Amino acid sequence: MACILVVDDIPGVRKSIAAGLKRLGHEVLEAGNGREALDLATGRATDLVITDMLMPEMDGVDLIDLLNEAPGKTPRILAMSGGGTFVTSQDALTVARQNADAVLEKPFDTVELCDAVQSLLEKGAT
Amino acid sequence: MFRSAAHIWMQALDAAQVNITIADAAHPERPLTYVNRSFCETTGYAAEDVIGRSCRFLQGPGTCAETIAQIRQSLNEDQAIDVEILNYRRDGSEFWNALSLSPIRDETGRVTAIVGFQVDVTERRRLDEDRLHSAKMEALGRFSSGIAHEVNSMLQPIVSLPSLVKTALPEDKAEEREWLDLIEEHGKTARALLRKLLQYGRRNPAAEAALFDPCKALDAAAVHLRPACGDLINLVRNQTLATGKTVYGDLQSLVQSIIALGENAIDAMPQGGTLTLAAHLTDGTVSLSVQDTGPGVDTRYRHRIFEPFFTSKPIGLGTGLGLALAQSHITSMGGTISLKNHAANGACFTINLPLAEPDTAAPSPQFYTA
Repeated sequence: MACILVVDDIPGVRKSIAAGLKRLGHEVLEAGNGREALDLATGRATDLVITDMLMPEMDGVDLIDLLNEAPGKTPRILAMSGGGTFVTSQDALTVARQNADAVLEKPFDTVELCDAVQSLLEKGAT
Repeated sequence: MFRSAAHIWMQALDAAQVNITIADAAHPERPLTYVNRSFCETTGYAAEDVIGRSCRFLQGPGTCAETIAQIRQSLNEDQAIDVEILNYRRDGSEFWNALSLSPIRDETGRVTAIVGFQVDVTERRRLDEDRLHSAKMEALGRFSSGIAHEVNSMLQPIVSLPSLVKTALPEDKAEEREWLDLIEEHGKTARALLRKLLQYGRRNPAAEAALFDPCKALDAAAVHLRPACGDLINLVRNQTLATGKTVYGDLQSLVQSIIALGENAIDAMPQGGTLTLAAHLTDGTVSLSVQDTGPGVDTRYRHRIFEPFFTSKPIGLGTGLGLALAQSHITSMGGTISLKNHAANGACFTINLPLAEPDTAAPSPQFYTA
């Protein structure tokens, strides 16, 4: 069983992803943006962070940067994106691929989610 | 003096760079009584072949019936008219004709003749269509990438939750299980459509461009198309292009384009037939073609098939994006895509790509960007 943090500004997305992960027996935490995610992750051993890229307050790129800078073990990062562009006109999926350990293109089914999570957890935190 | 003036008039008409015709208005068929040299050069007909005939010989299968009716009505009402009409040369090739017809009246006001001025505007229309196509693609790119993030997120629960609910359902809930399958299936269809749309919005596919063997693209497309052919359609390869030749561009985009053409071909042969994937090399150009034995593309649609969202398929069966996307991909590789209807052999789409030698500089592709 792993501790997985799901970050997305749309509650329905978080809930549907959390539902699949809980079925697998994982402990799931939810956050609505990067800042909330950092607060939750601080001082807690998180094995995997599944994060959206385009979010208010703090986006996925900044969240990933700050998680990587934090002391201690860095969780694996699974980025997810439905496409779209940052204000810099960069394609969200391209940015996701450059910054995360793995990427899922929204919407994905539960099998795709489980396969990606399984494969990242086997690699373990760094 | 009069003869000389008339002679100069005739010479002037013949020297004109526009096509000029004069037809007899007194006769119901309105036969031609004069055509100038430019008309003969444009259409390929000699004056003696056409004098005495109605101008209808310029029309063909792709000529718009509404435009013809419009012309007829104006002439019946003794009115002048300006239209653009698809006409055919003697050799069967098409050209767009900007046609201006005006009645000529005698001193009593009776219309005795109709003078026609015609200009071949094929090239101008092609440029207009290209510009319109680019503008549509650009708008589509902006629109799709604008909504993609939101809509894909909305689809997330629809695509992922049904399978979880199914595992929680008791064994005897077969009907409810089917409903969940339906939700999941429709969610995934929406996902596929949105992903196709998003390909317009992606910037600069040049990032993926490389030199590759076009035979590989045909092989990959054939692997994908074979299961869709089923028992009724025979998939045939006709290849004189040797392996090891290279073109420059994105391999996956070319594969997708061939698949889109192949899927259309399969849809055109519901009763079965032959799907031929061919690859040839002529004068430094690689030709990849997809030919079916269906009814061919309806001539009314031939000029519109590459427009985004144009489809002749029933509602729900075609997005109208396959050919538009294929054209966009092929143009970005510096190539062209064209259609030829074979009288008895269905439709044949041909992709022409410039051969790229590994040691030569890559061509600079053009892109539709959002």
